[in-house]
Amino acid sequence: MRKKIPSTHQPPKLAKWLLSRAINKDIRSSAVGDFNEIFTHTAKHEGLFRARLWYWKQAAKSMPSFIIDALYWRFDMIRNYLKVAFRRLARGWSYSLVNIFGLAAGLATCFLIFFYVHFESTYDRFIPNSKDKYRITMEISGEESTWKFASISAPAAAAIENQFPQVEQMVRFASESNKQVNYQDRVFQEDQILYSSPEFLSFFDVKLIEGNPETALSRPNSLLITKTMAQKYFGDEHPLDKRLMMDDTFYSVTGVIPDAPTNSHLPYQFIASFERFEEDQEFTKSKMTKRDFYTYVRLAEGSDPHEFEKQIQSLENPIESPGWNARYLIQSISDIHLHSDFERELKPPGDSTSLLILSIIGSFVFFIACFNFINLSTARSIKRATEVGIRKVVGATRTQLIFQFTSESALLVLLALMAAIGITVLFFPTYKNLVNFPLQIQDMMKPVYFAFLGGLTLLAGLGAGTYPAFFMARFDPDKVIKGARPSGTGSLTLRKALITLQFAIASLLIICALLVNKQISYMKNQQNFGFETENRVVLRMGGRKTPLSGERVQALKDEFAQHTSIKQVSVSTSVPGRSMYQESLRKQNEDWDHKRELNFLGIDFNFLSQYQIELIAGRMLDKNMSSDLNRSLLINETAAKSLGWASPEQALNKQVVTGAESSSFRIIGVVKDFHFQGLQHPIEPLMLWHFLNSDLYSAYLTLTVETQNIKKTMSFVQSKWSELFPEYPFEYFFLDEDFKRFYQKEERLSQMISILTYLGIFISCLGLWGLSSLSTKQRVKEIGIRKILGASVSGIILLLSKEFTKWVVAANIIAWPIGYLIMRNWLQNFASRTSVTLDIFIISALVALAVAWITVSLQARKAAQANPAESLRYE
Amino acid sequence: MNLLSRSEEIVLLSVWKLQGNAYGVSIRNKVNDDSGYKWSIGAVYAPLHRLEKKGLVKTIKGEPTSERGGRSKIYYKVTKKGEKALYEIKQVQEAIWQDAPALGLDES
Repeated sequence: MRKKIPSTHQPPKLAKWLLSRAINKDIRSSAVGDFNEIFTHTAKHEGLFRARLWYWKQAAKSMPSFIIDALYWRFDMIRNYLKVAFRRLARGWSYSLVNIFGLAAGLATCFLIFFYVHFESTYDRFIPNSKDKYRITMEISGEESTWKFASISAPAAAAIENQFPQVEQMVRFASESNKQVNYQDRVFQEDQILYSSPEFLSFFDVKLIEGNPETALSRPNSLLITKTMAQKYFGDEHPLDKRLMMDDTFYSVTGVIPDAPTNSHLPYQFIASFERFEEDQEFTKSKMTKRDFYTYVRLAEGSDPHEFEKQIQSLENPIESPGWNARYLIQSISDIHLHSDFERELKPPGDSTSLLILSIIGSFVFFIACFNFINLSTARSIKRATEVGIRKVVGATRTQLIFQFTSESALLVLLALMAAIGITVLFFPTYKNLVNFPLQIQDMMKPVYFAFLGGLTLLAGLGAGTYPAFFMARFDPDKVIKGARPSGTGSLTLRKALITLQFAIASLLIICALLVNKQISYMKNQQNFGFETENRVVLRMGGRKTPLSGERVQALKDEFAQHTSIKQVSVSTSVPGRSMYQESLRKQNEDWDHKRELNFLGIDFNFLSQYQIELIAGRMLDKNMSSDLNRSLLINETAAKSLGWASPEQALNKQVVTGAESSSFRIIGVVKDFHFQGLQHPIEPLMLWHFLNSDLYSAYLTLTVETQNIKKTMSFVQSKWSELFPEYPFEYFFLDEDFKRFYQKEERLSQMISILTYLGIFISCLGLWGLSSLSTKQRVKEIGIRKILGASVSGIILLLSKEFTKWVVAANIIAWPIGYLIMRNWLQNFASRTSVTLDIFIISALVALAVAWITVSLQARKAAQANPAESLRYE
Repeated sequence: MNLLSRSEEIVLLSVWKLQGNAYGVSIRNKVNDDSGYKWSIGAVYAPLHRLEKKGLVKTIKGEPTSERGGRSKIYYKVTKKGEKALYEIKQVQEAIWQDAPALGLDES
């Protein structure tokens, strides 16, 4: 009867297939027939295209109803599955708990790591057209060293805007810190002050909360402040048109901006108008060597950034000293946070290697947790062989069994997800501090994080949940009901492989943790900074205009020096670890074209001895020589080298001219290199002289205090401060604490790896525990017979542990080369680094073995101590 | 009384109205016409399936046709139990509407 249907009138195959999968078989034929009928009808009257469109639309619209209908009629069976599943959960509750908790721990770890990694790797993506925006930076290389700077000179920035047609927009700004800001009686020391032009706002997508964005930065002495700063200075008062005094200049507030986004490489509290730099003589004069302008461009869409980078090399070469080369580089704005190792970065950059390591370790922990889940589930499934047999005999199909066990796994995974969310929320605050994460848990309520949550759980469910289901559905009812061991459980191959892999990962984690720790303690202890940091308290004396060498400072110094707990006092323009001023310098016989920029530190006569900086040639500053007040200069070894003197002695008594006072100095001494910027940074050239004009620089006062009574000493210091400098804020820090900043990143990484390592080992042990409990149960009778024949308890424990030992050793053999490669790679990041030694690997193997032995022998002891009469009774 | 859901009620009544000619497509057309809403095919079948399981309608297999892709039409017929259910619904409907004052909307 069946007529052949023209093939062009076939309904869409995929839609038809989907439909027939979804519809309950009772009504399938009828409903699919209906679809067909209307389809044919539509095709005849309105064309095939509309018919196909209708089919898809209708299929999509009908799908929910069909699925609900299908589930409705399966509900009886599902209810049975759920009942059995919950009974299983309750009966082996310790297993269930271990299983769920192991997976939850793995999931939660991944969630937390993902939050951080995602946050760090999406820096600056909020900036519109970020892919067309670049920062122009500079690399200066000599024979021995290379420096990269995040900022370039002002004239170069101006030239870039005018000379290159593909530059659509250019923004530059200067940055200042350590300025004294006051409003009426409120005085604070402020950092993160930028000076820029009105384009800054549109370029970095800064929206004004108050004020007019068109005019906010265009008038001289206008100032934008963040919401936090507005609150700090004006409280509830209306901030617009208020006048703030910054150092010696009045600025009027023309707008309020939101706080700088936490995921921006550009921190700011104040944005002031630019004119101070325009008026500056040095700004307009061609002073290419000064590198203090952060310069950003937006290139025309579709223009080649590499081509642009080549073109800008034609700009005037800022370095004319022989042996030094300068090159302009461009840097995509979204690469700045993670891929910048530039000097003068405004915010300490992130570290892509750490992120990579964390992601890898996170996924390792996840795998361990999944393996664990598979191991425990299959191990338990042996006990259910009879249930599977009965279900099969009664008529369950393989598909039904797979569905049942998969949904059981799904239930476990779902419970694990809930537990994981709980753990995540619980540990979020701790974690936040650990990785220094500026977000709140509320900020995590974003689709991307939920997608990750769901995706990862699904992956865990599919990966770890389906295998046990397929494994169990394979049982042969004929054999299992008779009590024979189900096929495929004897060999344990997959589970052995998984356990080996788990322990390989755990060993790898131990290796990483040990090495990272070793590197940190190496950096901390084995190399010193070249100066003393302990018990040094540093007071920040304020910005420019602080009467540094004035009588009041002298009075303060005298007061402090008299106190019995304060051993030494000195004043300087900066201290190690804080940013230094730059000054230009040339040799007397050279002209100004050969000048170079050097860090400089203005010091008093006590400074060098207080910091215990060593002298390798010449002499220190001497209070009794009047020339040392303004005519003598000290340099460090690196500076001597970079100025072209072969040995420190050669530098002595040479005359040089500095830009600061345009005055000539005689080099009286060379100090040993000291790490004034921490150990990660190479030592830069540095010059030191007795400061003269205090107006130009900020100042720090360093006190050497005794450890006892430190509180009393500090309150004395504070009271003297407010007595003598009532108008200045009192701020201090301990130098050694301050230096810890330089290790924070590594310290954090180390802590993270340690925690993840413990977690990895712990979860691995859970898996091992499950597996060993299974294999001992299978050997109960063997153990009984051995005992009857005279085996000792310890002999049996040894017997049972032997096999696992093999796997842990194999795991270590896998882990060693991988660990070696990873860690060697990581160590390349450090200027001074420790070596990868064999003991680390041996320790990791021993730890893994010890942990495995303890886990297994706990199980084995129970089995070995059991009464053989019990275990053999039923034979 | 075994209460029916609103969609079950509408579908059951449509099957009754169509008498001998009630199968998927015609039921859906009827339901669409009477209620004024577009029902998806799935939305018709879900209540239909429940009605069948509850024994209020029964199925009669028809001829396979080419326009249905070689599948048979399945005709639905209201059983005695279904008729009784419809009767009860009608009774209840009338009873509860009986002493209701006219709605303001009825005028238009």
